[in-house]
Amino acid sequence: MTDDRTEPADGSTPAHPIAGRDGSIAAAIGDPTPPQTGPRVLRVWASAELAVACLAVAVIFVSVLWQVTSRYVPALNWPGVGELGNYSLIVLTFIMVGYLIGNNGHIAIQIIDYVVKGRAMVVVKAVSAACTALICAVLVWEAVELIRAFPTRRTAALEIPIWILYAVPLVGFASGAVRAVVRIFLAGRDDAVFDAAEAR
Amino acid sequence: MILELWMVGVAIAVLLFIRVPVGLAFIGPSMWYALADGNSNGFSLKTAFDGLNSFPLLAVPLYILVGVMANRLGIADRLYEFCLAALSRVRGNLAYVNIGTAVGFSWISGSALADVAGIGKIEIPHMLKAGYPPGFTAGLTASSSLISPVMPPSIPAVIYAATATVSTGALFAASVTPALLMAAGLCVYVFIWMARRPDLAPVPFDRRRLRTAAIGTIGPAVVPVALLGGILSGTFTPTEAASVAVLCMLVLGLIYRTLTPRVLLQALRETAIVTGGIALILGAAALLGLILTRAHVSRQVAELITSISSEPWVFLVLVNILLLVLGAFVDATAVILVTVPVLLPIATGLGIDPVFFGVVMIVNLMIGLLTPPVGSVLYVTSSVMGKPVDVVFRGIAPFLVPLIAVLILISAFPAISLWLPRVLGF
Repeated sequence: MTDDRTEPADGSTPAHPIAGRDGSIAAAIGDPTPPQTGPRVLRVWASAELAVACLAVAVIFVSVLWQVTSRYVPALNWPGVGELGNYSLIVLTFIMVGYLIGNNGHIAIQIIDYVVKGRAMVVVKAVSAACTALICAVLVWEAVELIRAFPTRRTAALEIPIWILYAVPLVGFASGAVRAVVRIFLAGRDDAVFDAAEAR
Repeated sequence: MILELWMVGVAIAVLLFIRVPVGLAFIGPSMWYALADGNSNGFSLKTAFDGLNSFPLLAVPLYILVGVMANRLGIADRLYEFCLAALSRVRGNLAYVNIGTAVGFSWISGSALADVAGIGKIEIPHMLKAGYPPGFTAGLTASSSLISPVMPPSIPAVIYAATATVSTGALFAASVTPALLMAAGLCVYVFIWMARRPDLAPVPFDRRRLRTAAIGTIGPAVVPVALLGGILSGTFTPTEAASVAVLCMLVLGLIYRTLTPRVLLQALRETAIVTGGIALILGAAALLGLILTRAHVSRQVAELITSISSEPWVFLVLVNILLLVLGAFVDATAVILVTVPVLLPIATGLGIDPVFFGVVMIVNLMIGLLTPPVGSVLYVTSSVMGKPVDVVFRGIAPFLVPLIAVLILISAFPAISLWLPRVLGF
C-alpha cells in the first residue's frame, strides 16, 4: 500500500485524455484524438447522424415500453412495435459508424500508444485510418450487394422494403470510409479529448 | 480452412494493435474469410445485421440510458449523500461510503463506467480532501465500480444471456450474491487498511442530515424494487424492465426538477454514442462467432482441454486464466460474444451450469476493466482524478486481491451463485 498523499484533484486537465472532464461514459470509451475539424459538410453530416441515432434511442425506449403496456392494455397491441425497436437498434448502430470514426469515439485498443511515439505514431495512425477506410469501403460494397439481392422483400410486420434497411449500413459505412480517409490526412495532429457531453 | 482461420486471428490481432476500432477489426478479416469460404457477397454484413436484430439486445441502450440519466439527474448524488450521512460515525467512513454508494448505484446502473465517471467525480475529491491517499482512493473507486456490471441490471449479463440463450432473469438473480461478495471483499480490505490509518477519523453524526438524505433516496430506491420485482414476478421481461427503469428515471427527474430538455438531449446523445460503439462490436462478433462455430473451433478447443483433463474444475481454472488474460487486452463485450459460442458447449458438456458459467465469466471479465492496457475503468479513474495511469494502477493493484479471491470463491462453489435463482424458481 502506498502512502502517496498529495493535494486533492482540482479538476485540472485530465492526466490521461481518455475521458472528458465531465466524466462522460462516451468520452471514457473514446479514443484520445481531437474531435473532427474537417470540412464543414462533414460536421453538419455528423450532427445529422447523431440526431438520427438519438431518435433511434427514443424509439427503442417507446417501442419497448409500448410492448409492456400493450400486454396489459390489449387495445394498444400492435405487431409492428417489436420490429420497430429491433430495427431502431440496427439503424442506431450503423448510422453511428461514420460519426464515431470521425470523432475517434469507437472502442479501440491503445497498447501501441505506449510503444510507439513521434513520427512513427503518425504513420501508425495513418495506416490505422487506411485500414478502417478499406474495411468500410468493402462493407459499402456488401451493402450494395444486399440491396441488389433483395429489391422487393419487405419486413414481416411493418412491411418496410428491406433494401431501405440495408441502405442504412450503406450510408453509415460510406460515411465511415470518408471520415477514415480524412483521418489519414489528420494523422499528424495531436491527441485531445472527445467529449460526449459537448457532442453536436 | 484451419490455416485461413489462424490468419483471421493474426489479422484481427494486428488490426487491434494498430488502433483499428474493435468492431471493424473483427469484421474485416472475418469478411475476407467468409468470401474465401465461398459465401455470397453480402453474407458478412447480413450476418452482422441479423446479429443485431434481437429483442434482448434492446436492453443494452436502455440500461446505458438509465445509468447516464441517474448521473445527469442527480440521483447518484442523492445515494452518495445518504451513505455519507448513514456512515458518518464509522472510522474511515468515506471508504465505506464509496462501496455503499457503488452497491446502491449498481441496482440502477449496469455499467462500471457510469459509476466511476458519475459518482467517482463526487467521491474522489471528498476522499482526497479528507486525507485518503490518491492511490487508495483511485483503487477503491475503480474497484467498487465493478459491482455495477455484476449486480442486476447488468449490461454484460444481458449480452451473455442473449449469446448463450439462457434466462436473463436467472442470470440477474445468480449475480446478486457474487456482487455482494465483491462489496464484502472490498469492505474487508478497507477494514484491514484502516488499522494502519487511525488519523482518518469519523465525522459527527447528524440525525437531521440522515433523515433528509433518506427521504431523498426514497425515489431512487423504488427503481430497483420495481425493476427486479417486475422481472421476478413475471410482470415484464428484463428487456422490458429496462424501459420501465428509463420511465422511472424520467418521473424522478420531473419530481426532482432536474429533468430539462437539455439534460434529456445530452442523455440521449451520450447513450447513442456509447451504444454505437458497443453495438458495432455486437454485430461484428455475431459474424466472427458464426465463423468459429462453422469451423468447429469449439470441438477442437474441447478436445484440447479434455486432453489435459476432463474435470470441470480444471476447465474452470483454465477458462479463468484465459479470460483474465483476454480481459486485459480485449473489450469485455467482444470477449463474451466471441468466447461464449466456443466455451459454453464445452462447459455444458462437462456438466457446468450455463448460468453459473455466465456469472464466473462476467466477474472475471470485469476485473479486466481495471488492468492495462485496455482497462477502461482504469483510464476513466485516471481522468477523473487528474493523476497518471501508473499512479492509479498502483492504487488499484492491491484491490485486485479481494476481487480475485471472490472470483476463486464463486468459481469453486457454484451454489453461491445458483442458490438464489433456484429459490426464485428459475
